[in-house]
Amino acid sequence: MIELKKTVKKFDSYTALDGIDLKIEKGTAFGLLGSNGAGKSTILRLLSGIYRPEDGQVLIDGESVYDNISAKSKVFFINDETVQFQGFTLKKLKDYYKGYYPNFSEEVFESLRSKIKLPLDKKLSTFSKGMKRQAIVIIGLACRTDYLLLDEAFDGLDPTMRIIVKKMLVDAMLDRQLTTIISSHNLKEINEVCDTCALLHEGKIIFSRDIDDVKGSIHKVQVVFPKNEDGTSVEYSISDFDASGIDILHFEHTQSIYYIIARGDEDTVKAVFAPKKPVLLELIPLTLEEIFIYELEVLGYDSSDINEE
Amino acid sequence: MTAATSTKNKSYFGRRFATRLAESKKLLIVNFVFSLLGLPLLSLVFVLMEYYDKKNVSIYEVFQPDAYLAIGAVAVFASFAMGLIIALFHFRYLYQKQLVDMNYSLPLSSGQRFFADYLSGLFIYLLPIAVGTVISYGIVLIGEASFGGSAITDMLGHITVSGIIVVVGLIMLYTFAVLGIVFCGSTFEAIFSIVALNVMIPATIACLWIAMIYSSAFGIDESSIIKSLFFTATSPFGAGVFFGDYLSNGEFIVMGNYGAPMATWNYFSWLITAAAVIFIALLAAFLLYKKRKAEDVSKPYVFKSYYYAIITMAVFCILSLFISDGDNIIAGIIICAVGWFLMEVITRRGFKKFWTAGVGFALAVGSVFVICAVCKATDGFGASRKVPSASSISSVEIGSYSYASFGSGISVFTTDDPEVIDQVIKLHEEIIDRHFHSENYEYEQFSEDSSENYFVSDCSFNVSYRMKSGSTLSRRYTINTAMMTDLMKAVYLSDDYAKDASERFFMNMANTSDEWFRSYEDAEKYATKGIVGIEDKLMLTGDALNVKKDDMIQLRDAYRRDLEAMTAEELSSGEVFCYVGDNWVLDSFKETKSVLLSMGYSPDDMDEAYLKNVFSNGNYDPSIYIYSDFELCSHISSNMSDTGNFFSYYGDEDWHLDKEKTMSQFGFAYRNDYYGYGYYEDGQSNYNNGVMFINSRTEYDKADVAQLLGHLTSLVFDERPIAVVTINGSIYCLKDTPENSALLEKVVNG
Repeated sequence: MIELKKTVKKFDSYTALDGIDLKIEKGTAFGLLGSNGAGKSTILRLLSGIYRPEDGQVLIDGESVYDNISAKSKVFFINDETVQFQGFTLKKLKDYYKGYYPNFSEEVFESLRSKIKLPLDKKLSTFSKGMKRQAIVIIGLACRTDYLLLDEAFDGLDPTMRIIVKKMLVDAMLDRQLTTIISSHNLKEINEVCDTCALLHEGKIIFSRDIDDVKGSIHKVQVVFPKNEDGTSVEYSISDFDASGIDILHFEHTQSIYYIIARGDEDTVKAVFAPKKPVLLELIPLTLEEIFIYELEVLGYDSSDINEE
Repeated sequence: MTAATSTKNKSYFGRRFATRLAESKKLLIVNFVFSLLGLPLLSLVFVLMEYYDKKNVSIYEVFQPDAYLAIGAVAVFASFAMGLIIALFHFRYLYQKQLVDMNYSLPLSSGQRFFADYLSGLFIYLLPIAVGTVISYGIVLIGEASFGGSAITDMLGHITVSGIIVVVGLIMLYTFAVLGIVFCGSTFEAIFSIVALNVMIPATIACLWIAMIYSSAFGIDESSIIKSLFFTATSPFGAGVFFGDYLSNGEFIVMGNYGAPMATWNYFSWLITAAAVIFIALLAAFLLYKKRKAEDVSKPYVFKSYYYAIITMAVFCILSLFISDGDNIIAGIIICAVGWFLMEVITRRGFKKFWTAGVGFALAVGSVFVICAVCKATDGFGASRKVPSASSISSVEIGSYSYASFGSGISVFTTDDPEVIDQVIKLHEEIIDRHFHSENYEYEQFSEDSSENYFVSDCSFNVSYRMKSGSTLSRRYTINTAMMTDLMKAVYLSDDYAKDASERFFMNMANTSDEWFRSYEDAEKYATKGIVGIEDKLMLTGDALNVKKDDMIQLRDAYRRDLEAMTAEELSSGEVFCYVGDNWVLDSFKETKSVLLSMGYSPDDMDEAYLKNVFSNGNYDPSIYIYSDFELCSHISSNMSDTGNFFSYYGDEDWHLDKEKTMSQFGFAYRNDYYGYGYYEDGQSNYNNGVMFINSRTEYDKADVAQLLGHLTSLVFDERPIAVVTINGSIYCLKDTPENSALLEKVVNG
């Protein structure tokens, strides 16, 4: 299990992580979501022992990970760079990592490599960005560590290759309880691969939950209220639904049709609007991307200022 | 469980080491190219030069070796410089951001990562040099064996010993480079840091030394810095200086016992100190490596204090020279300011909070002035008053330029004799006391003003104490020769002198026009015969005896036993029997005299008839000067020339013996001594400038003069002679006895 306890990470005077607490159970596929600069990559680097926290603890299976060979050997980190292996051939890169990770499986490596048909003896500098990404992913999987950390995992991969890589990850998770932590701005892919996720913003965790729970706890409500007797539309404002047991993240309407993003379970949300006797009340499930946008909008992270300009 | 973990950890280290070697394959190949081109090529050319020399053929008739020597030297230099490149390559993840994750995320502790990277780099650095050295040895051994040469093979031992200095210097260079990189987080700064660290450490020590010298730190001179382990063992540059000192120590470039072979006796102290410096640098590099964070990459300087220390050192070096010079201090400050603010703009990548750069510069300049002021106020941090205690001294090395030899062609004398060490300390204390409390003394330590006309001339006195701690304390002074009296007596009475002088005695016999040996060891090993060159006590006539090696050994051993048996009384009152080469043989040296006589030496009686005969020889035109303040003929100074039965006297110059001073073995001091003779010449030129050059012309009876010369002696200790006589530049004394007074009176007054 991975645990971050009141972890603080600072870069000079800038606080990247501000006392966060996070638990990631073994065998889960965990997605790290967040705005740019929220601290996603910082968490991954803390977990892989690259960064040393200023305060708090970063534990892998109960052991502090920084400068700890035992803990670090359980983790394989794939960052968002692809230039560091320029001088290597795939074979050389494989041999490089094989020495450090005792569970490295040639069989897994060969099997995955044959699927994506990467050449063994060509230098990675001749590879495309996507091929480099594929190369390091299959090495990461072949290392057979307990934890695989991927920063912008699918960056540079073509759609077909994304599917293949995702399948590789899922297979590994199913086969050997691999814990995968993925940071990505591509929420669709997180949605497809991960079962749990955390949303970060400005160094703090907004939430950390099962993705289905997240999706079930936030709804887009499309509601039409009956008109007045004179035929005009009834005007409701957000304050009309205050203290109603739900948390309204977004509120807008076009004539009599209201679009409301509300946090709360489905029954509670329906119960809030029922007294107004809506003509139409429909709860539409939100995508992870929409949840991301609306959650951060509440925190003032939106594009409205830019639109106004 | 623990054992398993330990094995696993070792394997991680080994894996890192191996992967770093594999990554550096190209560097290894380049280094091999340089290393195999460097030393082996130089060795080959030297062997060929020796080969053609042996065949009496000029190598230039066969091929031009200079170009190959230049290529070899450049290749050697390049292979040495590879240490910097390898360090930059092996620790590039400390200044290249894209490599950080790849290196820091691996299951390695920071210690394993650091030492695997350090050691693998060192291996890549030194392996090709080691292979090149082995090949060079092969070339020399096989090459010389093929034509029966041995010039280089004979020196292989010394080459190996000096090679260890080079290896230590290279390890230091590489370690300093790693330390320099650890301080930095960007490419430019990493390169700058390596250069700065390697340059600024020796430069700062040298400038501090110079600041001490120019702040009237009495006794310290520029050359003494190269004898300081503080300088030679603390930087690769210092190691180079030490190496150079070792090369010139007489093993490779021997021309007699010149120079101070500091490197030979200080070798192990240097090795230990340099190893300690390397260890400290490595430890510092590791601790800083552990302390720095992965995210520090891309910062110009991870530890800003280091950057400010380096540029403050640079300011110190520049400004202290201007302060020492005393002129143009403002110009010095301006130069420093330009450099300082330029570096600040580069480091800050702009002008953000630039006023702080000004504050930093003011503090740096202020600190330089404070250091220089403290240096001056404390007489070079107390260095000029420091005399070590006898108990802390292992041995002492003394030398004197005006005392061109200690009587046996030995210009530098080294001993651990307690008596000599005590006398050196006593003299050193007196020198310091005279300097700082000159009001307590009636005459000056030395006179720069020749108008005082002290015949007792100045000489330089160099002393290097070899401390039991392994350090060295070296000082150099100019003193009057009379101050050397007690020390010289102690030297002559020491067993070390007996050993050195008898070996020099043997060398003098062995080195002939046919054969010349670079060292005593060579002479003892290879000489089969020799020539005993004997001169009478006034060096007017000579004799040469051809002898075999057995005779040479017999003579050497007899001379050593005579010296060892010599008493203080014999030394003080002894008369010179003859000279063998540079060695004086006293009348009391029974064994030596016996061997010389048995070999067929027949000394002339130095009587009146003999001397008259010598001076009447038409081919002989002796230059004789008599100086005395003897009461019968005060202020006599004569320039005599041979005019038949008389010597003509040409001057009444105002030379005199200082009444306060006793004499110390003038004869040895001035024999063939350019400086001593030069001093007289200086005095003469003063008169040439218009002051009473020729006052009178008198003629002295040659027989009287000859009789006087027969009573001259070379050895005078603890007494004032009544006259000093120079014959062809060699100086002799006339002791203060009634007989000698009468003789002198007879010469002067007829």
